[in-house]
Amino acid sequence: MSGETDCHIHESVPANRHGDDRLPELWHRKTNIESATRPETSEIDLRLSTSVFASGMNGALNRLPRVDTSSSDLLQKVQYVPSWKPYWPKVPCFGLTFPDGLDFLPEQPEAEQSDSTVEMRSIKPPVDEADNAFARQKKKQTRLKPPEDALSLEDRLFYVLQPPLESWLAGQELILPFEPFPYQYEGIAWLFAQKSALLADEMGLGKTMQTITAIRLLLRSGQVRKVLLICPKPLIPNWQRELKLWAQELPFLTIEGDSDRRRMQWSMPGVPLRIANYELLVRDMEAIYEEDRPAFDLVVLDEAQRIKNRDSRTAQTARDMTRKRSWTLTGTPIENRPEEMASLFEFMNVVPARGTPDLRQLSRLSDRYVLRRTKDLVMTDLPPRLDRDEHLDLAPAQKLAYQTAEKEGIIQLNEMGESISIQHVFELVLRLKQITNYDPLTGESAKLDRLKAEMEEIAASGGKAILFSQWTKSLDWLEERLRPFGPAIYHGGVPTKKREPILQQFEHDPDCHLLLMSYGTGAVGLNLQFAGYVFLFDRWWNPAVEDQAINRAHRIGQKNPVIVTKFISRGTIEERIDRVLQQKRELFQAVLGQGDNENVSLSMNASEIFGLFDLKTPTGKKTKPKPPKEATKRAA
Amino acid sequence: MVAKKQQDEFRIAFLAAQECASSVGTAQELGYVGGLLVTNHLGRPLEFQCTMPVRPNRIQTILYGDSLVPFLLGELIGSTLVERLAIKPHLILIEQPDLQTLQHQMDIPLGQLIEQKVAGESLMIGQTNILLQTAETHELKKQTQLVPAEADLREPFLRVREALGETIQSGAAA
Repeated sequence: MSGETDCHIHESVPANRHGDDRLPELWHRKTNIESATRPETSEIDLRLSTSVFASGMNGALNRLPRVDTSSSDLLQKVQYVPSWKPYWPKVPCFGLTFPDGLDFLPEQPEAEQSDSTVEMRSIKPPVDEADNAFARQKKKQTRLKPPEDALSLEDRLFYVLQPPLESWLAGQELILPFEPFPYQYEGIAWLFAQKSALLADEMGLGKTMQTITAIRLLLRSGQVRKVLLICPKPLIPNWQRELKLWAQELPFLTIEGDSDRRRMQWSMPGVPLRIANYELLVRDMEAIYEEDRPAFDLVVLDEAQRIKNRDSRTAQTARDMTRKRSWTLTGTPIENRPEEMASLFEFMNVVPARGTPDLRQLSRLSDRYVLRRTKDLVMTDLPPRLDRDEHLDLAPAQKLAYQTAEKEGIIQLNEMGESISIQHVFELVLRLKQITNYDPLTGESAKLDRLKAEMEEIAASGGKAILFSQWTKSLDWLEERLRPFGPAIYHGGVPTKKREPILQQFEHDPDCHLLLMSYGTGAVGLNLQFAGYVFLFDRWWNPAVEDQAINRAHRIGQKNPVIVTKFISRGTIEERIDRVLQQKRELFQAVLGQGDNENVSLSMNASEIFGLFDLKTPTGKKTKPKPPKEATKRAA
Repeated sequence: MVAKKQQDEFRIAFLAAQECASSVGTAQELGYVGGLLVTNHLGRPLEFQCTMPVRPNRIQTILYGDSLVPFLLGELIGSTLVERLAIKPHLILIEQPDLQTLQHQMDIPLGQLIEQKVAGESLMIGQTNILLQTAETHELKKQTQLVPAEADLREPFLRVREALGETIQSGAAA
């Protein structure tokens, strides 16, 4: 350590311990000592200079230390210091784009476009929030549901993401002339999602409208592009009219004309909807080579009971059509036997070819592929139908003619013994029924007299009535005698082109109070809800057909009660037929419930027809569920 | 065609996200899924995109804290869905405030559905009040008049949620 230290010591012997530079001073002190007699003491300055380290180290050792370096291994390697930065892996996604639908809206004229690129639309004034919420709650929304057979996520999402039908149809995307009923919305949503469907709503509930709207939605959403609708020939004008009403923007083509024209119509591109009748379908498909036959996205069979016999050419031709979706429409899916539905299911591709499902299987298939609603269940607000049976006594000459014919007829039948057939009995029934309408010799008719009286009242009040008969001959006979009521006549003998104008005349001509129709031609598919009265001049064999006839008037749109008058001649075959049919109807209602009475066998069978005259069914004769074809044809 | 032209004129997208539980091994884990439905101005669907469940891990949960859900829904799920769209909408609507962070990720205007109208700030489209997240609203307001006055813009969100349910279900089945 270096530094100055004040230190005074007495020393007798000088000692030089600090180097040569102190020698003169020491020498001088030594001389002084020697010159004195006594030893003198003196203070010696022992302060050390800074060059002397307190530790006594020699300053000569003042030199730079020598430093040597060498490397050596660390104990362990440097560890990675943990760090984190905000990194997220890519989010996996799933997506789908919706197919472009067909646009049918006509181009708006340029003049109607405003200068602005955006068409301005008026907005309704905002409503009170509470009212708004209430209205939102109140309005039911019908959503499309994925069909059970839609398994892929993409297929299911297609249905889930469609808007509710109410907003899709309520003036936003598609315009409807009238607001459909809630059950109709449900029917449309159900059809939209079905590849195989049997819409079996009771007559008058709007199968036509539901089908047209579902087709319209499928076309607009790009699900189908080519649709074929098959219906009985008399119903083509009805479909044309309904299409113009419910889907005015939808272009359609009716297959008609000569064979060359039809061939061209079948192959014409760009037609979204074709309408054809059953007869033309069979004829044309047989004439076209199999490989040239058109393929469709959807084939709809109206009055599908036409294919109930699976061996018929019509059924075979319908099944042979190449198609992706198969719909059938009928109010009477079973006219006589449940097995008739098997043929419809075969067309719908839900049972294998020639498959014969038992009742349990049919029931299961029905749950999945059949939608049926009855008026009792859904049309609680439809005006009532008032049925009244008019039991009339035959006019004197009529009565004589009737009794004579019956007596002779029964004698003849009895004389035939075992060779008697249902056709013989049936011919007698027809003859007697005709006499109950009017006596061919004298023209006397109790029914006509009553009808005239009723019609005078109806005409005076400006009402309109429809009359049904089994015979065109009876209708012609009536037309001559009911001239004051301006009758229009509509039956199988009227050319198809003239039929629609006849219906128009009946609706719009104030002097036309009566429409005379045959059961065969007028019972199905027509909308005559402006008529408030229905007369059944004679009775059909099957009450389901009678109901179909009555439902021309008693259907959606009818605002007043419909009065249905059934003429029954007292003490005649008509009373006996009525009794049998009524018993059957009551029996089936007891078994199946009030809501469904068309879905059963209501036709008279052979033993019941024999029983009308207390005759027994001959042994070994096969009973037939329906009257012989020739007889039925002649009757219609 | 007129309909096609109008469809091109104004498209609206509806974005919704929801929590979902899924089983991973024996444990139940929470995740989030999002769905984006693009419709034309009449509500007809044009495109739909949805995510598979997104699950934050423990570190992410700690580090993001309270901002985790807005980040997940808006920035991660929302922006991924918008990026994947082939048909770009003119307006994206949301119901959940947590999705508002999406506006920072894109140029498309974002609108939040609100119950009550806010004077001078909200916009009424159809029957629904919308609070726009963007300042440039003049052109958009003109376009929104194509939407029918009776339209309920909350309804498409029901469809999106139902579709998300189907997606989660199908994912669980797979």
